[in-house]
Amino acid sequence: MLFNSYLFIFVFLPIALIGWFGLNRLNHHRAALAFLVGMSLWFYGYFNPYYLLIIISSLAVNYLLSAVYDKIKNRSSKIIWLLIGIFFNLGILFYFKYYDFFIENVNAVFNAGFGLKHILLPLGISFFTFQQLSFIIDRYKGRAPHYDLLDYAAFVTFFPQLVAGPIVLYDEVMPQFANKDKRKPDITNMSNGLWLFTIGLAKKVLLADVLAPVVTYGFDNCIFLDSISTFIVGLVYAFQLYFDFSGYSDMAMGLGLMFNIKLPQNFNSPYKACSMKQLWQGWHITLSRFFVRYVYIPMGGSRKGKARALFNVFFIFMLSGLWHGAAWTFVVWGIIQGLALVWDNLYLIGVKGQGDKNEPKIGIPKLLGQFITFNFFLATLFVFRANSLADAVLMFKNMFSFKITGSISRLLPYMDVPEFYLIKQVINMKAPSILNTAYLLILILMLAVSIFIISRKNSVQIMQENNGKAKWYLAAILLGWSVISFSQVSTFIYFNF
Amino acid sequence: MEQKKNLKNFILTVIVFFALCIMLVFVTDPFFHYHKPWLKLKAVLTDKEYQCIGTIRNFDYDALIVGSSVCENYNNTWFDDRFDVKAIKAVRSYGATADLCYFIKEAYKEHDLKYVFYNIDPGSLAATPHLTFEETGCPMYLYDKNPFNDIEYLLNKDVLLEKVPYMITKSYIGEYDEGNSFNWGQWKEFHADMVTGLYIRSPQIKQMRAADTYKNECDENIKLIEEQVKSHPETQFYFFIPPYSFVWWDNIYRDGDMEAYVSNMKKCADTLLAYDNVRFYNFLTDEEVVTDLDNYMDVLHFSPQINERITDMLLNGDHEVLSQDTEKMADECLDFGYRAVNELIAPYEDEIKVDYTMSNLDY
Repeated sequence: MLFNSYLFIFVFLPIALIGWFGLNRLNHHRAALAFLVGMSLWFYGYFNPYYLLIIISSLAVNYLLSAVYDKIKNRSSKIIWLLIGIFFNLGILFYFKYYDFFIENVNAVFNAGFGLKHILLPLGISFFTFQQLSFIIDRYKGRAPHYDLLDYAAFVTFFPQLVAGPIVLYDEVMPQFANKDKRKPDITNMSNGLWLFTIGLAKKVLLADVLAPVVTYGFDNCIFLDSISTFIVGLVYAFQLYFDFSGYSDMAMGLGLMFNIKLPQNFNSPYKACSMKQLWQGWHITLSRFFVRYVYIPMGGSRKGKARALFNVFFIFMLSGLWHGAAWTFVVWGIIQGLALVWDNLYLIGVKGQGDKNEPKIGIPKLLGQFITFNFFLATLFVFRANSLADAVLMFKNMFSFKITGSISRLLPYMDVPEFYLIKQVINMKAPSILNTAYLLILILMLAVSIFIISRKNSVQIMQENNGKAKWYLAAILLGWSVISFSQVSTFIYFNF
Repeated sequence: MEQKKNLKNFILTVIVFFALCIMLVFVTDPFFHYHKPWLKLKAVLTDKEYQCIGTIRNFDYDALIVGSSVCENYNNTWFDDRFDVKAIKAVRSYGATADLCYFIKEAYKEHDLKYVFYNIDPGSLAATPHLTFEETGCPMYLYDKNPFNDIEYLLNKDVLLEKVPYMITKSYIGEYDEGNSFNWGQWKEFHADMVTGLYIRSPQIKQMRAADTYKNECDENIKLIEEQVKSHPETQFYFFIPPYSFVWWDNIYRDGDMEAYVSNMKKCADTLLAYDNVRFYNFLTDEEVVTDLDNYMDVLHFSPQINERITDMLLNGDHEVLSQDTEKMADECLDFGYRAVNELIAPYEDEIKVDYTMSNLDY
């Protein structure tokens, strides 16, 4: 089920809230937890009931592994069980996410002909696998207790964070579920949650989804793009990706708050960053946190010298690239991010006074740092989003060819939106030749709105402020506008029998 | 306290917003899901997948024009005037038989039909005899009777910002002809160059398939139509095979389907003509039309003038096939088909494109 669906907003969410608080009000907390797990499984299984088998198996095996730690005392046995846990979780992830990628490369290198499985990637598998992996590792280290099955199931399946994060740690959520004070509706949390959910929904539906057709056309037809079109496609994609993912994270946080569960913030104004290091401190924060805690630090972190620390940084970003998808584009993107972070950690050039323990040797103005960081990240997104490495190279070539072929005229009609319909009809009647100019104005407007939003306080900051009535009326309109945007009227191809 | 007030205002504003949207869509109802046009709005019909089912359920009429996209250029008033009825269209891309019969069944639920004018596309007899609405992406919330999924219609930005304004402007500004429902012919050009430009010829000729190749599909499809004919003896059914251009014969000849298609048509005519309330027409051999490619925009689709000509012929009985003449009809079709392939297409062969990538296909 999608957050941006009628079913979720008008049926699922009200039932989940009423059931959760209703059962807790009747002092049936266990029943409330069971109800919440059931609802979360409905939410997850709605995509494809077959996925339920995967998440339930994953949950059951990890729970049993957790139980095993209480029964064994000697360290070597614990290590064996830890390795079993790691292999199990990464094995699931490998099978569903990376199997075909691996076989494709084996076939390419060894000229072999192993068959591909074309497995449909279960939604959210990367998120709930990492979430449980962190728990199993902490169980091995003795940091995490063994929980009751229902509590554990609620932690893993809690629907706001189930399919796209944030990657929640057990010690963030479990105590909140156990806290009796959080079992009755809280007007502040409910209203803040609703507001944050609305803002996230608007980011996703009114910005990301409106920008998406331009991006799809651009990357699917990159061979036709000239310099300006390529740059526009990249810029639009940078905003689409941010609004899509941060919008989802806002929705997840907002939903969590409605249940009085505070989920970790996943985005914190990354496009205001003046270095790549700072950008990654504000972009998909819980993924970076996972890699730091469970890969970087066990590898030695910064305790084994500067060179080793830099390698560790590089390594986790390479892993991060692979985590984002099973393709060489993601691997190369991860490597580029890793190299950029290594460069930042050398502190040669950068913006001073950013709160780091080390200051760069050569200082640059903050605005310049922000400009360079944003544009560098934008450039790397060509690799991230391109359908292949060859396409990514082609897009760079296009951009630096400094040729204007008029390809923008084919790109702009993808900015067509229903809000523009009446104006479009008038233009079509009075001056059809200026239609593309009108699309260009819509694009400029969308980019201006995007820049305005990313350069202001982020949604979590605004949520915490009391901005009076305007904030609420605006949110109400955004919610209404977003909801009516869920459904489209498709154009059918008529002339085929 | 203030939080509570803000939350209350928020929820109230959202409810008012949704209520206004729902009211606007319900009153104007551009897909006619709830009612026929109110407030002197016109039946502005341009999206058949969205509107056809609503008009069938909610409009006042006593005749149906049933068929595929080649039926969309009929002006309903041509039938109204000639047959003294009030006709509306029940059209479906591809002319899928099960879909069209579903429309007819829906029509009979609330209407007494004097006439059904049913365009039979030869290809539809060999196609699936099952409903195709869902698999072709039709908005099922308009087809099923579930009131809850109507939300997709009532709170729909495209409906609110495009379909409603379009309906209002077409109704109150200019002269919209309601008879031209789903008409596309007014926007197209009809010329031989269009036909030869759009026809992609296979370089190879497949072996001619047996006449009963599509027996199962054909029997099932004919049974669906027959059920309607049998259940409604009070209705006069006019079945007619549309006048595709002669280039179509080249296409099905190369695909190896010519004899099977003709056999299907004969079987269809034989079965339906057993009923007193059926008249059957075959326009595939109306040479005055089908040999003149200037009547077409592609291999199949002819100009609205031809639609009007068909309406006249239905009334006058030209090209009517009687029950004792179905064998003759089949022979004439095959004769014409082979003439099209061997003679008529020859002058155009240099202009027609050949898709050589198709030569690798397994025949």
